Amino acid sequence: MNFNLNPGMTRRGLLSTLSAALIALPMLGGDVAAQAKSGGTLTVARPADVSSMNVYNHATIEDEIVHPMVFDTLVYGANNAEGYGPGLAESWTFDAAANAYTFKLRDNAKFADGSALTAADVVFSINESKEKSANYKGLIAGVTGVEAVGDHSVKVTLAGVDNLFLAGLTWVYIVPNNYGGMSADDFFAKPNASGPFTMAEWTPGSSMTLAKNPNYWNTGKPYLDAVEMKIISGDNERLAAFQSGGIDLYENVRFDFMGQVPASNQHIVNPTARTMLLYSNNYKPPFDNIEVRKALSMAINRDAIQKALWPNLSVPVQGLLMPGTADTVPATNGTWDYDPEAAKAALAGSPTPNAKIRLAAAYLRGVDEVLVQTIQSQLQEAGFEVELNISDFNTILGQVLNNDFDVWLLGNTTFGTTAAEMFNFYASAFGPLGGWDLPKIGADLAEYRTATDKAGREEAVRKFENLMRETYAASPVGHPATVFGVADGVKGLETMVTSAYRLDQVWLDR
Amino acid sequence: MTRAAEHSHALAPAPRRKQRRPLTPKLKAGLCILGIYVLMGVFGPMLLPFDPDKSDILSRLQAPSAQHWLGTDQLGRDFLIRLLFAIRIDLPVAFAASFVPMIIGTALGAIAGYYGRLTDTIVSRAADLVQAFPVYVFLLVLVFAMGSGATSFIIAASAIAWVGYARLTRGEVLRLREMEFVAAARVTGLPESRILLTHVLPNALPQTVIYFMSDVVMMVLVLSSLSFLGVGIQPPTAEWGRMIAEGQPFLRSHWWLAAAPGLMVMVFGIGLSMIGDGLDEWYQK
Amino acid sequence: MSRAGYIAKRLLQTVPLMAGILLMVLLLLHAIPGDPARAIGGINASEETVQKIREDLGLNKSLPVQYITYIGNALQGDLGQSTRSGRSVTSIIADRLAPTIWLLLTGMVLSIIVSSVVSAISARNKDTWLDYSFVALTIGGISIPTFWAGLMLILLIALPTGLFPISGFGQGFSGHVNSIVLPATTFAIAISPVMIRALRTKFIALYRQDFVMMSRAAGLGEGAILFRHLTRHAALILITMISVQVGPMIFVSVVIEKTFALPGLGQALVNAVSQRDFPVIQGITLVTALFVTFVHLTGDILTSFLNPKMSLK
Repeated sequence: MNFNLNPGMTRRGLLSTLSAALIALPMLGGDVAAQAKSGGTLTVARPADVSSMNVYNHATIEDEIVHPMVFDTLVYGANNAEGYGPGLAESWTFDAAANAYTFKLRDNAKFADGSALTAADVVFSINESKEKSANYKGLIAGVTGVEAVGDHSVKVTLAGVDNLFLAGLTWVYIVPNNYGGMSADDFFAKPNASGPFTMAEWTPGSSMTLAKNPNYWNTGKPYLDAVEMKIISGDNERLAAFQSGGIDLYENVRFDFMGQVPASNQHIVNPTARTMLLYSNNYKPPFDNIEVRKALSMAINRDAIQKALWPNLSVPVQGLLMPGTADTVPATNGTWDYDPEAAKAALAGSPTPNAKIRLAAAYLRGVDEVLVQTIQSQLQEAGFEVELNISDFNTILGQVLNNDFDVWLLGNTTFGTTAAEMFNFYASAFGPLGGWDLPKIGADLAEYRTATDKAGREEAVRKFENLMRETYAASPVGHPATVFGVADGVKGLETMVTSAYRLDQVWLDR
Repeated sequence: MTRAAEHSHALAPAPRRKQRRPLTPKLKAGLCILGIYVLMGVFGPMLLPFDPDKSDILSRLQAPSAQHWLGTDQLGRDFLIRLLFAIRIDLPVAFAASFVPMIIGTALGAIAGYYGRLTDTIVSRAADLVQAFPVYVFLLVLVFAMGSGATSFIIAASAIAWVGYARLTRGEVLRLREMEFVAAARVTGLPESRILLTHVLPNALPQTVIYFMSDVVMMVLVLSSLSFLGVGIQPPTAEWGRMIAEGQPFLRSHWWLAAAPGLMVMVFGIGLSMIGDGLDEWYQK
Repeated sequence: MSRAGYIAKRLLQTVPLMAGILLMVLLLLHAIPGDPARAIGGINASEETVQKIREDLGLNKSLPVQYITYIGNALQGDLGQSTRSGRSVTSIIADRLAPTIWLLLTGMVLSIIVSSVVSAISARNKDTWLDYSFVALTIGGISIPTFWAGLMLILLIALPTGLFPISGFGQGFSGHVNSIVLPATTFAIAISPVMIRALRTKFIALYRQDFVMMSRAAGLGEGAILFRHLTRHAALILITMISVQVGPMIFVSVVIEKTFALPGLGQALVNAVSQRDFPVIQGITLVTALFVTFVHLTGDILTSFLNPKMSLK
């Protein structure tokens, strides 16, 4: 997980050795830590459950929030000039000549069962991620060798300059060597990891309880004894649960409900590194035709949506990559402008002038019924016949993976704070499923990976954004904020631009 | 939300031809309400210069004004025209969802009651089976399985609602079969099917019509409930149950968005119930 | 026919009924257009996964084989597994049972109290303004959408007074009680009108009966008459009433659970529907169908004991 927000960071600066004491403490909020109290259970109301506790199947923002609470990583994203701070690795060195990193592990690092966490575990974990991680193996594909150097150091060799590697490392969760002799399935059913919490109980689709990990390396943390996460999928129901007082942290406040949450209890992440987009299935008619995709894009009145549905709660459409993350720049070719007449003309001139489409959506993370019906209405204005397919996120994801969809409205949130994560995700997951121009995107991503400076990385991003806009491969709608409801007495909550948060520094005062 | 099916006063062997009798006050009031709804549904939307389905989010959630008499909804659509437009959905769908099972149920019930034996056993056991289900939950699942929408609703409603008509008609036919005027008809040598159609069924119909009225009320309620649960009429089509569901988030600030569609359902139901009760009184006069 | 004979016959009748119920529940899966396994799908549903779902659900076997397997498993309490969470359907149902039972019981008790009192008053004061206004209210009540009644209670009672939670099941016993008040009231608004209609007619009839007249002649107070003679019939009437209304009651509770976000069986059903989680839909439909059959059966048997004059056919 990447805390970095600093757009001016340079990867070459990583030559230096990083010190735990200098960087970790400010990140945790020094003044808060001084008066923090231990104890208590924090109750979270969340719109959807994790898709899996198997970290290699990591797919949704819920996974992104929960996995790091249980599993630890060598490197955290950090709000500093380098972009990354120490996690399980208390420091590291980079040998530019050999393109090799050497990570020094914390001496007191342990798994939740009390067994020591050693270099062998790290070597195993990196290799497993590289092979199995559905969405992140691309980020660490440049790794050519991993070896233990004694019990508490690991050396990772890369093929060359690699702007994706450290971003990828924030997703390499450390698990015991060989899963402690278990099968992967058995291990992830009751993971023994080294994060601040352990998974005490999980009823999929309903609730998960995390308990404080007594063997967490960061002594004194976490403050909370337990975290109870309740899955309350309906917007109305989640608001009601928060108002009735049983919820400390209310995720994903629907914009229309903000008036019902006192301003002092709102926690707004704006911009959120999120792109609301219409993700079309470009393999099948009607969206295999560029004129139809153009009609789709031009039918959307983005300004009206921003003004009416997200007042002061969004930033103008920038592109498919997320505002607030490093290296993202808008396209220079093409347009995302609203042009109803051009939309009508494009659709009328296409092979499917009365295209009948199913608009899939899950009411989650910025998508609510008002937005969905607004999009439906705007598309119908352009001549589409739009049927809604409302379901939960996982069901729709299943349909998308089965190539059984026309267009999906989703709030896509990046998992990191640089362009790297989502750029890779678009190239490896969205692109293949949506029918995008993979060779070109792959080339742009490769250019990003090996660029030697920020200008080079931005140039690669610009090429990608231009390609998307010229081919209307997918249509961004906007970048809505994220709103949390936070009960009185919840202290130390810090969110990232991704809207993800850690709970190890949160404490209760009541 | 339950069926008002207690109009089971035993009818005197109905006179074959009725003289003109004055309508009862209940019947008049009920017919008036129904008439007003039909008029509002047919002509109301024509008088308002709005598109009921087209959103205009920049003018969403407006209070009532000279332009929008009942304000606008959460998508900026004129609320009044949607209330009226919903008549064009709820009424025909509810009537169809009661009419189709009425035809099926009456036919099956008549055959079962008149011919008895195997036909009776089959129809009665099938009816038992359907009634063993919590029927409206079953309807919900059926609609979902077939895909949300009016057609699915009418088919699913027909699959379960025929039972009430079949039981009612079967009972009436069993009773009428033994009546003198039927025996008299038999003596004249009319074929059995003719007797059933011309002598028995017409006399069984009044109860069916009364039951039909309560069934329509029920179907409006079930349709709106399914839409409320998300498996009935799909957006953007205006439907009262969906409108209530979509108004729920704005209960604190724009309470009328949820309140008004419910009133539309209620007054309509009262109208039909009065027609049913009124017909019952009228037939008994 | 003897009573024992009647009960035996009635029990035997439920066997083909249950077989029919099971068949219909199984056929539900086949009512979806297209390939149910593909429709169920799921994350990373490759061709192999779809094939596996097909095998898990037994869809690759013939219908009679599926039927027998399903019955065999159901008899052992195995209703399959949720395609979403992988949990057994039986345990999902067990988890969700409490709020539904609370709602059904409190709602039913409240409905019985309200409808008995109102119809007794109505019958006692037949053809007075009081009776007419009750009748009018009843007609109105029959026409109210359940969820709308719930929302109006929230709007007119919960929001202004802040006395009751507007959703959820609360914590602990007192929390449950507090949070069931509005749902149970909504339940009574939905169910009572029909019961009142039936009870009022019954009470009027009973009230006119000879023995009531005679008691009256003997100088008993009217209240005592109602109480002594009508309560004797009340159990019978209520059993019939509950037996007839149990189907609608279950639907009403589904809608109420959604309105008030009660985490009961109805919510589970609605969620399963939106997730296309067929084993859960089938399981809940089956359980509610069996419950309805059980209530009908119990009602008939109890009636045969309470009403010696009933013709046992």
